[in-house]
Amino acid sequence: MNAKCCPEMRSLISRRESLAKLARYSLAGVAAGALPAWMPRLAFSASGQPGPGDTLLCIFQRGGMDGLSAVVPYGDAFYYNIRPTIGVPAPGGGTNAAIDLDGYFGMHPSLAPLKAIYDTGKLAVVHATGGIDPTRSHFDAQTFMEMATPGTKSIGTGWIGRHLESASWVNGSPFRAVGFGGAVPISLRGGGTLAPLAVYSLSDFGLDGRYDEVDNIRAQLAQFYNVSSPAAILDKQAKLVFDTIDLIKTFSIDNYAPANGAVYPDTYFGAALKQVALLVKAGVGLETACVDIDGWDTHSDEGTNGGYFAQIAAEFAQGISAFYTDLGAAMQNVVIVTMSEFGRCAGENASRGTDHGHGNAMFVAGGGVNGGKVYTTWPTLAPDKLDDVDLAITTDQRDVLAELVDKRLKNSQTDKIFPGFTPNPPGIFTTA
Amino acid sequence: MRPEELAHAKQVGIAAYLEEQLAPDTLFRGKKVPYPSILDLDRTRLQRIKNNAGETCRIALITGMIARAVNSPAQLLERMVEFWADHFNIASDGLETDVVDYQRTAIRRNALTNFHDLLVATAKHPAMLYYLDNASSVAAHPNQNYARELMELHTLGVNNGYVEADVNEVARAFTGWTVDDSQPGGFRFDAANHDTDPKTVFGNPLPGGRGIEDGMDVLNLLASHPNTAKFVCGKLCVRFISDTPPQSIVNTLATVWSQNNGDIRAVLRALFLSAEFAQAVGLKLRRPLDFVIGSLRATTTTFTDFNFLNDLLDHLDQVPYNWHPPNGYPDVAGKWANSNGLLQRWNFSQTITETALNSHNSGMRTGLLRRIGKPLTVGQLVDNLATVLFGLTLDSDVRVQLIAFVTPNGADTALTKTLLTQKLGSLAGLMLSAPMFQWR
Repeated sequence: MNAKCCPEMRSLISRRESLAKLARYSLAGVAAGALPAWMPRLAFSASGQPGPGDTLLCIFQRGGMDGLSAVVPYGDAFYYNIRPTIGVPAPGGGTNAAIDLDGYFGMHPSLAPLKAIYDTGKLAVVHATGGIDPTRSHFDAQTFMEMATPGTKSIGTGWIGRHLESASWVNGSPFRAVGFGGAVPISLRGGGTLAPLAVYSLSDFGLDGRYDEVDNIRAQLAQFYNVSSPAAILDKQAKLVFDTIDLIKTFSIDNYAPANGAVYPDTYFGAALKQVALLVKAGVGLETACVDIDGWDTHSDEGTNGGYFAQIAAEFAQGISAFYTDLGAAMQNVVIVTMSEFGRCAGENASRGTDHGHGNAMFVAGGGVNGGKVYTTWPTLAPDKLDDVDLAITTDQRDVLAELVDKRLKNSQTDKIFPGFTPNPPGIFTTA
Repeated sequence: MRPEELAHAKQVGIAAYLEEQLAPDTLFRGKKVPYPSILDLDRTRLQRIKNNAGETCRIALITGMIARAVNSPAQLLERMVEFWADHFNIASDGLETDVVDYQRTAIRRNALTNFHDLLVATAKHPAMLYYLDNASSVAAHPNQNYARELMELHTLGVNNGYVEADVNEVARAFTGWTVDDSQPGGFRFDAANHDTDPKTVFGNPLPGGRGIEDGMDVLNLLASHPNTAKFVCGKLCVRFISDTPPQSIVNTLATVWSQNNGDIRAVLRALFLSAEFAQAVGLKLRRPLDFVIGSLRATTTTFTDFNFLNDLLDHLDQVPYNWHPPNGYPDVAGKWANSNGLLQRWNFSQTITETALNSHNSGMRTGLLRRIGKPLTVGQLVDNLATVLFGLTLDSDVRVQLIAFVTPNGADTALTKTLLTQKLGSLAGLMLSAPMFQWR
């Protein structure tokens, strides 16, 4: 987002209350200089600790990623028949060629930063996976996937929300479940006490008001919204806002410097990932974060070979790579999973794009991943093996998610999180 | 509603007020609501705009939308323009000049006419042909994007009377519907790229050997389909009654729709005179844009700095014409009742009151000081603000709290100029931030 124009217009407004107030939180019990400048100055209470498992970063690629361009089945003889103009060349086929993974699949060249993690054994690809409901509607497919209940929305909650609400541990941090963007994603929605945070930008998350009135304004808002005993839906959000503001005051977001030379893409996606990294390192109770990257609905002029798809795939890969690099050794206790509502048609359309399809590829990365491998029962793109005209699904995405929840998030209640589903763990994750 | 409008509606009665609103031309009485003149240009002239036509048009679209929503006496027309702009959503990125024409000739012109005409106007408009890719859909490889969203979002509702195979059949029916910049309306049927084989669309055979009739038949079938009536009436009830409207009113409206061949005015008449509407008070969380427009109307604040306004709308997550998926901005509290949204509303409130009143070169102009009259006491100030902002008197406990916000000395405390300058902006901002202003 752009900085607001005309600084003078804000002369009477202080973004984050008064400096004097900030000082109250300074350096209690922490030696100055022992921590990076942005680090929180408040010890986190015992009730605000995340659980014993990994921190989860869930990246949703809205619009339907073309998995056949992202992870190219160049060994499948049918691929180039049905992708005559937008097919990604096999490894060795020039500058736009795929990067070989295992002699059959290759990564799109824009995903080269992910290949580097793949080579360390900490990133795995799952292919011919996805949500098993046949819908090709973006909105239904996203909802089914985020709820992890294919074909029905009646449960009303998301798979991550149910994980947190069924977990055996308590974590009162306002950062327990964070959705970056203007709204809480369905994946994070709970049905009970869970209060996921929606935040656009941590550094903008403060109460505006005339500097000599902002405390009074806050006090009156707390009365309006009954923050001491919140009941109505907006009351609960108001309490979350105040809790978050108070916690944010304890660290200096704008001074955050990524470690290990990590460079995030200068986009909303990149900025969101950087803030997730900050929250992980700050130790403020973050357990699960959801970040979206929009713009995968490539019906026309898809640009797999140097065009639009290549650009958004590059942003996606650079973002994940920067996050991975920035966290460094801390990635041992972080797990990244990516998903998209559906793949795209096996064949290209007249507009050099692809319509809504079915099976897709997803990526998982982190210290607990048995990576360097493509997990798939490849159905092939033979005409009689397609689901309608699309890549079939041979791995229910819930198999991957259930194993992740069980082994990495340390929540064994997968029957509550994936109701009516018996998972068949693919063996992607370690328990150590 | 502003107090003066409420008074008028009470005077003439709800039914008569509704008839005025359903015939918006009569409301202007020679007065023109100021909005950017670009919005009246036809497609050819829009294409002649030099120097960053896209941004020029984007600014005109947003400022025009807000100026009309704030100032127009034809409030129902503006509400319906917004409703249909969501229903037939097109994100303006890269399509700005076409979206200006689309909003004027397809949406606004048909907002209170007939659903069939509205549907056809959107189907043939270059903005839609580009946005959902039908412009490049040809017989050899039909592009399914428009066909799918036409049934899922514009007419029947998802899986509500069609199956997956129908998506391809309907896509075939629209092959060859494309854009021609040499035509005034921009629409062209390209017979050479049309699939002339027979088709079957949701159970209806379309004979082979035809041309544009295939697509027109599909639009006619969809416009008169009972599931379309139910789906669109359901959405109207969600917009104007509650997130979960009673099925009774949806059914009633669908019947009115079918009996009147999709006459939008007949449906709105039935909606706004229904008992369900009369009882629906405080059930809808205002969407951010609705909150912004309501705040600007109540305080008579205008933005002189577009970028400032744009940033605030961006923080609130509802920049007009900037929702990228084709389903339009969501219309239920589940999307908007969140921490970011609430905080941004509070901050917007303080910005258009405190900053607008007291900051030099604020990028805004406000008539708030004029609107509150001449209160002599703190109690009168709070009461006058309640009238201006909410059109009602406050609950006594809220009144006591707000008086205490201004002074510890009670309602009869004299309102000095110093006290007014110190407190008016923060107080008015607080009132716009109150729960009661977030619901309608």
